[in-house]
Amino acid sequence: MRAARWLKVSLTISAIGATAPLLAQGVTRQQLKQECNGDTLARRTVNELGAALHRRMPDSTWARMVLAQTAFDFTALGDSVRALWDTLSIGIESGASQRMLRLLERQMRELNRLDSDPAFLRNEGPTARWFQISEGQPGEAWVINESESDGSIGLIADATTLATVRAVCWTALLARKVADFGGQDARAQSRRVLAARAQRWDNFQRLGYSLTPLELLLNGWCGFCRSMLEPPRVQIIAVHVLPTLAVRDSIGNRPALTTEIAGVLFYNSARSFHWGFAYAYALPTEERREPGWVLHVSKIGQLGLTFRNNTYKRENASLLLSADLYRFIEMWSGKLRDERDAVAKGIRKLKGAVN
Amino acid sequence: MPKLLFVVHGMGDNLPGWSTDLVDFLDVALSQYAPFDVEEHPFRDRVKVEEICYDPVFDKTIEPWGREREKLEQFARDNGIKLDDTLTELAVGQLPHATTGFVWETLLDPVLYRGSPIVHDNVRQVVIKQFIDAWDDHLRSTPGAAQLDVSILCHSQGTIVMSDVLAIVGEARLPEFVPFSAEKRSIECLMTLANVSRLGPTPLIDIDSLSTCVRPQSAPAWKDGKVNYLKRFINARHKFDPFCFFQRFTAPANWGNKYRLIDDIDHIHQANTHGYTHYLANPRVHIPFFRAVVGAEISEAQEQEAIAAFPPILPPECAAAVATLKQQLAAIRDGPFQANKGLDEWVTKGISFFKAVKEAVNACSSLVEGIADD
Repeated sequence: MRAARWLKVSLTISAIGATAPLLAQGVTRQQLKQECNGDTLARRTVNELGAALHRRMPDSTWARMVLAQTAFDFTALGDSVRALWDTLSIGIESGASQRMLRLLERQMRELNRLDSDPAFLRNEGPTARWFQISEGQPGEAWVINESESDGSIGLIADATTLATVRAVCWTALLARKVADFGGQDARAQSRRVLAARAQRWDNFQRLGYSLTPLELLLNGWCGFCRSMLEPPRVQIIAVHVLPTLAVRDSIGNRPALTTEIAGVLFYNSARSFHWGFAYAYALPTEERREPGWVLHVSKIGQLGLTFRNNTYKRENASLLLSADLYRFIEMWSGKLRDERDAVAKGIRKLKGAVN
Repeated sequence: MPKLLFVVHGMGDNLPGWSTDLVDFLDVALSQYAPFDVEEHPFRDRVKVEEICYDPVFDKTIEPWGREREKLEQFARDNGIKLDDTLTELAVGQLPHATTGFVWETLLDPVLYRGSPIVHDNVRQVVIKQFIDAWDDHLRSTPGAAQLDVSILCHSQGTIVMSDVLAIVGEARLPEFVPFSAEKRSIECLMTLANVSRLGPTPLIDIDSLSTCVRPQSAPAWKDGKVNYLKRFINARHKFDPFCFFQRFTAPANWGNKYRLIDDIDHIHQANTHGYTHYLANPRVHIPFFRAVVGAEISEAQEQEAIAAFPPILPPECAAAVATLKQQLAAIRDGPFQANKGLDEWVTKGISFFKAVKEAVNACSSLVEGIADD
C-alpha cells in the first residue's frame, strides 16, 4: 500500500516535472492556513497545541534563539533550525523530508559563510526564497520554494498529512526568519549605497548646471558621461542661453544674452561642485555678436571673455558676468560696504565719545 | 501572513499622498463581498500599502524650462535685446512657453522617460530607493517568524517603470541589489493595469519587459540557471483603452498558469477608459487582485454574481454618447501605428483620445470624464 502510494507520488512528480504533491490522509485547507500562515499560527494557544508543541512554534523558537544569542553566530542559529526540524519531522512523508533536508543543508552552508566571509555577510546575505511559503488559492497547493521546480515542496489540502505540513511549514517559517535576520547587514548596505546615490542626484539637481531639452537628450545618450542610475559626472553644454552683463573698458557696460554653443562641465564625485568651459557668443544690446569663452565655476556662476568685431585685442574685449556671478559679486560688495559703513559709524561714535 | 502592497501611479500629476483615494476605493470594492461587507476598512486592515511616487522627477525636469524661458524673455525685454537672432532664437526656442496641460503633464511623461536616459535613470533611482527602503523597513518590523508577502499594483506608465525597476533589482544589475534580487527573494504578485511597458521605438527601449526576470515562476527561466522574480503576474487590458494596444505586452503562451491576462473588460463608467480606478471597478479585475494580494476567499459564485450585476455602461442615459466614444476609441486603437515612431504616435493618438473623451462628456454631461484620475 505504502509502495503503491510512493509510486503514485513519483509518477505525479515526473508528470508535472515540478512540485511534488504529498498524498496521504490530508489536512483541511483551514488547517493548512493555521499551520503555514505565520500570523494565524502565532495566534494559536497553549490550550490548542499543548505546552510541548506550543514551545516549538516558530515564534517561540525564534524568541528563545534571540535570547540565547550573545553574539552573531549564524551557524548556531542554523543548528537551532535543524534541531526544530529533527524534532518535528519524525515519521513524516519522506519526499518532503528529503527536499526539506536539502534546503536546510543549503542554508547551513550559507550560514557558515556568514560567519566566515565578511563580504558575503555585508554584500549578499542568505537566500530567503528557499523557505518562502506561497499561499495557494482554493484548488491550488501551498508551495515552499516555488521558484525551483526540482526543489519545491507542495502541500495539498486533503492530501498532505498534518505532521508533514507542520514540520515543513514551521521549519520553513523559522528558517526564513533566520535568512531575513542574516540578510540585515547586506540590506542595510544596499540602503546606504542607494542613499548616497540619492544625495548625488539631489546635489546634481540643486547645485548643477541646468539642462535644456536639447542637453537632456544629448547628455542622456552620452555613454561616457555617467554610469547606470547615476547623475552625470561629465555634462555637455549645447546651445544654452544665459543672461549676462558685458563689462567693458571703452564703451561702458551692457546687458547681453550669451549663448553657449558647445562646452563641457566636470563634476566631483558627490556632484556638489563642478567646473568647465564653453565656446559662446554674447549678444549685447547693440545686437552684434561677440565670440569668446565662458568659464563655469559651480554655483558661483559664469565668467566669460568675448571680443567685438572678431578682433582679439584688449580694447575690444568684454568681460562677461553671468547673472548668478553678478548677484554673487553684488552680495559681497554689499556686505563689504555694510561692513565699511559699520566700521566708519563705529569710529565716528568713538570720536564723538572722545570729544 | 503580513501583506505589503506597493502601489505605483501612471502618467499625469501625482503628488505624494496620491494613493489615498485608491486605497479608499479598494476598501469600498472589497466591502462588496461577504465576509468583508461588515468591515469599514477591509482592505487597509489586511494590507500595508506603500505608495511609490516618481512624478516629481518629471516636474523637476520640465517646470524649470518654462520659468527659464520667462526669465530670458523678461531680461531681453528689460534690456532691449531682440530674440530674433538665429542662435538666440534656437537656444530660447527649445524652451517651452508653458509646461502645464494634458500634453505636458500627462502625455509627455513616457516620452521623456524613453527619450532621455537621464530622466529614466533618475526615475528608476527614486523608485528603487522607495521600494527597497520600504521593503527593508517592513522586513525588520515584521513580528516573530511571520512571513512578509510583497505585491505590486501598477498602472499605465507605472507598468513601464516597475517592469524596469524589478528587472534591475531582480537581476541584480548592480551589486547593491543582490540582497533583494530574485536569487534571494521573490515577489508574491505583480498586477499591471493598462500595461504599456513595451511602448517606444525599439532603439530607445533599454529593458525589454518580455525578456527579464519579471515573469512568473511558472514561465521558463528568464536565463539558464536563473530564477524568475514573481510568483504571480496578472495583467488587465481594457478593450477600449487604446494605449495598451499600440505596442502590446503579449506574454508567450509558455508563461504557464501563474500568468493571467484579463482582456475581457469593456465597461464604460467614465469617458477616460484608461483610468486607474476605472480598471479596478470591474469585478473581473478586482476579484483576482483581492484573491492574490489579500488572500481574500471570494467564491466563484460570488464572482459570477458580481460580474452579472456589474453594469456595462454608467450612467445608462449616456448610452448613445458611449457608443460614439467606443467607435472613436476603437478607431484610435485599431488605426495604423508606426512602432519606429512610437513616441510621436503616442502623443498624436493621446491627443485624439483626449478629444474623444471631451466630446463624449460634451455629448452627455452626466458621463464622468475621469481624466484627473490618471
